[in-house]
Amino acid sequence: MEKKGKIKITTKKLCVFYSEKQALFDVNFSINERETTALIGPSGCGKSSLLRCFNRMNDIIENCLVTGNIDIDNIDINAPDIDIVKLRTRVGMVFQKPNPFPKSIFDNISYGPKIHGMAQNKLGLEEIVEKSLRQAGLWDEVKDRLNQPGTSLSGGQQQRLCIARAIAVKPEIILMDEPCSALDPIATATIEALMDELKKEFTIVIVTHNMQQAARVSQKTAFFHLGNLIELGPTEQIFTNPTIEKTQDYITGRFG
Amino acid sequence: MSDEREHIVRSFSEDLNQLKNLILKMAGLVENQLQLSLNSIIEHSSKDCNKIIKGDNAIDKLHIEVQNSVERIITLRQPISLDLRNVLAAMQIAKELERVGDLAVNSARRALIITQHAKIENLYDLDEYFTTTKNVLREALDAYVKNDLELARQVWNKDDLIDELYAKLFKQLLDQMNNDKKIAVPAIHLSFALKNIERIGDHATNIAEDISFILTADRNMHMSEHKKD
Repeated sequence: MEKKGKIKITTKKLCVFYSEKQALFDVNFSINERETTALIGPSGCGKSSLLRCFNRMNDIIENCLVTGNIDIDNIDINAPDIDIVKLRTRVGMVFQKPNPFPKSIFDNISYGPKIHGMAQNKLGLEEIVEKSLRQAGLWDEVKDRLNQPGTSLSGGQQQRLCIARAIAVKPEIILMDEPCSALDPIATATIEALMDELKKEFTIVIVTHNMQQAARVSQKTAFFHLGNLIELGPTEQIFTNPTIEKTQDYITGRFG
Repeated sequence: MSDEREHIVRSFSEDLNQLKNLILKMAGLVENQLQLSLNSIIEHSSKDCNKIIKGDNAIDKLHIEVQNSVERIITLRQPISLDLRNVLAAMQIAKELERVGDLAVNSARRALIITQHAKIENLYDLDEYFTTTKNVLREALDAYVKNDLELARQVWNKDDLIDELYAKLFKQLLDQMNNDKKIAVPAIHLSFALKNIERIGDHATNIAEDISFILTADRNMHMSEHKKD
């Protein structure tokens, strides 16, 4: 029997518009705490638009309108009194192309905690940096060169640096938008192994075009098509015996 | 649900079709072997027995081809859901057919000995037994070709009928042995051959279960539910 987790994020009648074009239609959806939920679907189906709703990154897109409700821990994140900076600390994001700051490895990680006042002193910052890099599985590879630029790392290492940077500010939720599509298979496997560990502490939502990856890393999968949520269910069920024919068509490559 | 529609990558659909065709080719050979084997016993003739024994090689070769094809498809195509079930079931069905082929050969070997003795008469249900088993295998293969769940269920439900016919024949044979000890040798070999045929019925039932698995993703439930009806 499936273990019922506590719900972390819910959406109700969520719609996203880019000028007149509607990208998401009345999405009613929930994401469980400390679980990885994968969003899959063909290009243009609205999955990245949905992902960006959870940390209000759509706010910075011109002509983008979001309607409906998004609650995190039962609090509407679009309420007028919500502190967006705090929200984006609670809801971190990792992008498709690794984007380390043009700073040292150390400063990449310490930047966020420093500006949020999360450390009392230099020692406190160093502890945060080490803990974050250890959690991201990168500490042993970089501990002797923390002063080197973040951009001197390989692609896979840069992505882990970005994950470490995200978790340094102690988020509750990590959003990942195709985090491995720019990485080689070994780097991808490393990120996936990391995700297995991270989900013990964080709620993860991942957008991926790689269905085998979605099957490997997630516990729940949501399939989107043309802005509609078609099916949401346990990952094993979605990929072995989905209920909706359109889901079956997509996962078996009968349409894209 | 079944899905005959093509994949976007057409060669994937072609691979799956080729796998199905391999199964059907194997099935054709197996059915032929079974027919010849049953005829040997019914007609009390050994003329085809050596041909049946040699004919098993072709079936074994096809079985290996199916296994290679399954491995290749899983490695290169990474099928999931319905496609994966089709591929896994093809492997199972090929194994069932290979066993039916072996049982046809074993029956032919028994027939070689049986036909050296006088024919045992008055086995009233023999024709019905052989015809029912042959038909059940045919229906199972039809269900596979047509993705027909209802037909698969009918096959599954006939397993008891075959078992009952076997039990009747076995009793008839025992009664005859009790009345005439001289028929002991052919009778014993015939009882083994009859048992082989009963097991062929079981393999047809297994194929029906594999078809149900392909179409419903359920290995047991439909069959159990249907049997309760």
